[in-house]
Amino acid sequence: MTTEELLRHVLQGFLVLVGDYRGSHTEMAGYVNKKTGQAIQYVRGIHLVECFFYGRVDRVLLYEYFPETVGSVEEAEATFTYERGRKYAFYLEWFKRERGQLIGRLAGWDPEPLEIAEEAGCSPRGERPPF
Amino acid sequence: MTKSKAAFLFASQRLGKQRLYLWTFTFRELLAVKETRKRWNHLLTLLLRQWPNLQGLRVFELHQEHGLHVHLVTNQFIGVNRARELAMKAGWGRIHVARMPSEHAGYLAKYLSKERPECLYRWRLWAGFGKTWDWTKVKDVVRESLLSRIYRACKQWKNWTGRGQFFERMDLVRQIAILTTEHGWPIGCGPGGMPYDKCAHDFLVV
Repeated sequence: MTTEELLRHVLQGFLVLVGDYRGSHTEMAGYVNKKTGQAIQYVRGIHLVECFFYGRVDRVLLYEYFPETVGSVEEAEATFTYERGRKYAFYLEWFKRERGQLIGRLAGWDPEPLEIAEEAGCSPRGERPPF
Repeated sequence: MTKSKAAFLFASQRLGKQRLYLWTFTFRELLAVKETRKRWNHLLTLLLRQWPNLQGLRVFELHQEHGLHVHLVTNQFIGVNRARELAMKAGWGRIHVARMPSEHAGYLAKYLSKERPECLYRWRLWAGFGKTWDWTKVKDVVRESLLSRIYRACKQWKNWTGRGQFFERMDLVRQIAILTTEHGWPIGCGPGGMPYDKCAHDFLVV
């Protein structure tokens, strides 16, 4: 995704969070009835993302809920093809700040890796500065 | 999903093994929520007096325009005309009833997913009623998730008892959850599978 595409999505009103992907955890979460032993289970992924939030680097926990067709943790993990340390645009359904911790829920779209041309802070090794 | 909603789903599954009826009780006029609750208590007393074996679940829903009303799932057919008479006596207006397949018993849980209005803070949004059936309570439900498992490990490590300093505890649990996700630690353990009490303090700080 390029900067122009990202900007277009933001202007269209998509709720987007841009940040560095730091890692994921997948789990079979749910509830168990202590009396009857019945369980309600669902597969959930938790992504850790670093982003700038009000002038400081913050860590965000993004929850991804999988449909019932994804029945195991392994199946869910197979969909995670993200590169640690790379910048992604995460589409959100909602986010909130709870006791200083930013958390959110991913919308149906997969996170998109960003292709942003960054300005170099200095000339490449061994090269003369341009001015 | 909240713990309360999960408990409701368990309770509805239990109730849902039988033939079910979905009732909606509303008012003609718009009433304050406290007044509605008072009238609901009155109506429930009348219903149980008339049908002592009636079992079911009730859910409060605050409608955007019509104020608070009550949805009910019951497992026994009760005469609509008699129920209407009792409802009139307790000051209620319209009654609607429909048969419901048992697998749809969790349908009412959708009202529990909505954001809780401020006026219903600390209210019991759903409850069971009737004798001889034991509906699932929130205290009967255990949550299984990354945070809950780390919380249990921390509880053992720090010897937490009671519910004091809950938010401070949760801050620590969240911090460790972030580290667990980032470094791929086994759940409930520090780096290399070490128990938390054996880890150096620096490892457990973000």
